[in-house]
Amino acid sequence: MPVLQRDAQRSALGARDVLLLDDLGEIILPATPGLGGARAASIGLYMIATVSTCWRVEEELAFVRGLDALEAACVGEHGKGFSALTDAQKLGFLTRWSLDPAGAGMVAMLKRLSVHGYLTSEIGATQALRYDPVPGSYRRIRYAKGDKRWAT
Amino acid sequence: MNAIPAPPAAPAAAQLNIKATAGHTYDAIVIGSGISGGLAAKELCELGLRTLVLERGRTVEHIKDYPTALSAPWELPNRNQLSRQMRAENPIASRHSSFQESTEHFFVKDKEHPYVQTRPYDWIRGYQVGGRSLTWGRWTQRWSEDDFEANAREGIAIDWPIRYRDLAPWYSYVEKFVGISGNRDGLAQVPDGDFLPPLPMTLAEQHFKRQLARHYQDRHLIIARMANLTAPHLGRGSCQNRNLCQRGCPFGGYFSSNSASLPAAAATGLLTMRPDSVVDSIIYDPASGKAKGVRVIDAHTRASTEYFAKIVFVNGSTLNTALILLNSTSDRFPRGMGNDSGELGHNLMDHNCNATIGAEIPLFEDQYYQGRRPGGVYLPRFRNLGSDRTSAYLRGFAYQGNTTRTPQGMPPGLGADLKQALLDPGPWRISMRGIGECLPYHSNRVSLNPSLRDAWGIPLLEIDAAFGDNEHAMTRDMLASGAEMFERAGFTRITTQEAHDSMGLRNHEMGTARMGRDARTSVLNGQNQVWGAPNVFVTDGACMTSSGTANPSLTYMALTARAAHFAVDQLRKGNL
Repeated sequence: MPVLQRDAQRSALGARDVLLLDDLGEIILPATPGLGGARAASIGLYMIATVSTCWRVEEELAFVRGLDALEAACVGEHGKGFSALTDAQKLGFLTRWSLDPAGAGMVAMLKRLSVHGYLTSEIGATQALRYDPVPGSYRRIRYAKGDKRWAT
Repeated sequence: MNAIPAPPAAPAAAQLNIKATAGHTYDAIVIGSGISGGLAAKELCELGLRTLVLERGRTVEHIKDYPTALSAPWELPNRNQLSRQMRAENPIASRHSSFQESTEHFFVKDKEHPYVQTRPYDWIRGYQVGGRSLTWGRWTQRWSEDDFEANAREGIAIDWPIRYRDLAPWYSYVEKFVGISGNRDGLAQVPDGDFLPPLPMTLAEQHFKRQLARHYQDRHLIIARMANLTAPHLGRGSCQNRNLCQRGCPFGGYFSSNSASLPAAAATGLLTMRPDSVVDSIIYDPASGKAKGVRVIDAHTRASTEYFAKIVFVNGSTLNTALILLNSTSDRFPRGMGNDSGELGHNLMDHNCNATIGAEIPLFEDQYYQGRRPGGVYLPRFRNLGSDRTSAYLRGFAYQGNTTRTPQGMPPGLGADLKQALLDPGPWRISMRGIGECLPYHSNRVSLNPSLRDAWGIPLLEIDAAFGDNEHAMTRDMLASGAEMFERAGFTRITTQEAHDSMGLRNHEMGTARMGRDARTSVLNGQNQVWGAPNVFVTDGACMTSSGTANPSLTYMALTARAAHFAVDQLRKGNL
């Protein structure tokens, strides 16, 4: 897929960012055997909605610029955009970028969005975690290491 | 603010024909349909009075008008996050933890209801049928004998004209209607009530309770007394432990005007509910020496109408009640109804909750819970009681607490390992927030702005209030004492967090029309009657002479029930 030319002065996300954000989210929270990951939870759409509607203007700008810087760094390293890498390359790049002072803030934002967006999605809340809409009572239950926590 | 054209003048009473006046005449008028107004309406209707309730906001019908009550997180457009626009348009309301995407329709839009802050004050409002009884926290405690005596004993402000024994039977009366779950703990500082079965404590809480008993003489942890039902009650269903109360409950599991008081009032056939009715003032009749009715501005048309009644209950919520009384001027009351003393608008208080303490509890890793308990635990006041005497400040504070296994912070890494780590509830954690008494300072006051008016032509309220030295000293001790208790209990990773919330944000605003023994120093007598206008009763937070530590709504309701029964008794005896 050709690398999209990104406007250096842009300050808002657009529809064209959905696939990239899905790909980023999926690396952060991937599908695992029997359980969908962030892409299945439409994380790209969630990120765009949250960043442009809920985050402060300066936070949104930092995210947009950070996303473009991430893509530019990826192109610089691999000659192609993030979505064109293999899964192994994606994880490797993102991990390195998270340790780079220029990228740490952006990866932290992506993690925060991925985690919140995934765990409040239907897949995340009901399959990754446990969700009980009408518990009826409040009672003690046993907990064994590895048991899933409650979504809400 | 632009000058707002005055609403069309109401026709003088003498020009109304007899039929129209009769159509506007009731036995009783209740201003406000919130937690105390709703209860006033129920009491007055059940005592046989044709009662008109004037609510400035829109209708909210129980169950039918709770749009988000059953919404899962993914069903909310922003997953229950506030939008940037919502925060920008509601800078005050959005400071309040209950103001969420799922509840914002139960709060006023700040820009529609301006007020003047002489010192920073967060006025949190819910203008709809039910008021803030829809979104309230539901914690309830009775006042103690000590709370009523404190002003007199310490020479602060004025003495309450009543004592605990005057209110005790009315606490019982109200508890039996409201449905309060709790345990009989035998502590003088939080008297036991007529309770439904208590919610359960977690093992971590029981452990903390034992540690407190081991390390201190006078510190106790009790299950919170909550207006959540632990058994079906008077036609309402048991709380289902969803902990989404402030969205409105389709099961009727918590008490609100909407779920309980107003339906009970309506069942008598004597209730008339008039929403969209902004009260401008109470009309004084010099010939009778009493109020004869209320002047109302329609919220939408701005038409002015008058309603008449033998009794008026003012339950507009503390600050609106003060505003209405201040705006009810006449030759007899040039400074506002009941204001011979000059105290109307003064002595505003709110609870001080600027101290939060947290910790990890390194125990019970094999224990968890199912369900979302709609309350927590309560650590009643211990300071300046019995043999405990601190010189740093007067009065005391309690803590509202909770234990959960809710992870904090972000696990490290990316990928499958991160996903796995997110499933882990982490250790048990405890959090406690102090709730401290605020002294009544005469200088904490509200008044009417001399020139600015709202969209209904009513003067804007000017609020000039702030916490004082006693409150700040108490905050320091709330933090230190909480941390010390956690330390002695063997908890780890103890954190203390001091907030700098303005008065008002805790939404327990009280005072401005205080009860007292003497018309020269108070606005109301011991029966909540306005001095000089004996058929006008104030029983919401405005009537409070001191603030105590208790979550106050139960006390407002007890005072309301007592005053309503007194009012009707007086009416029947021909005294009103």
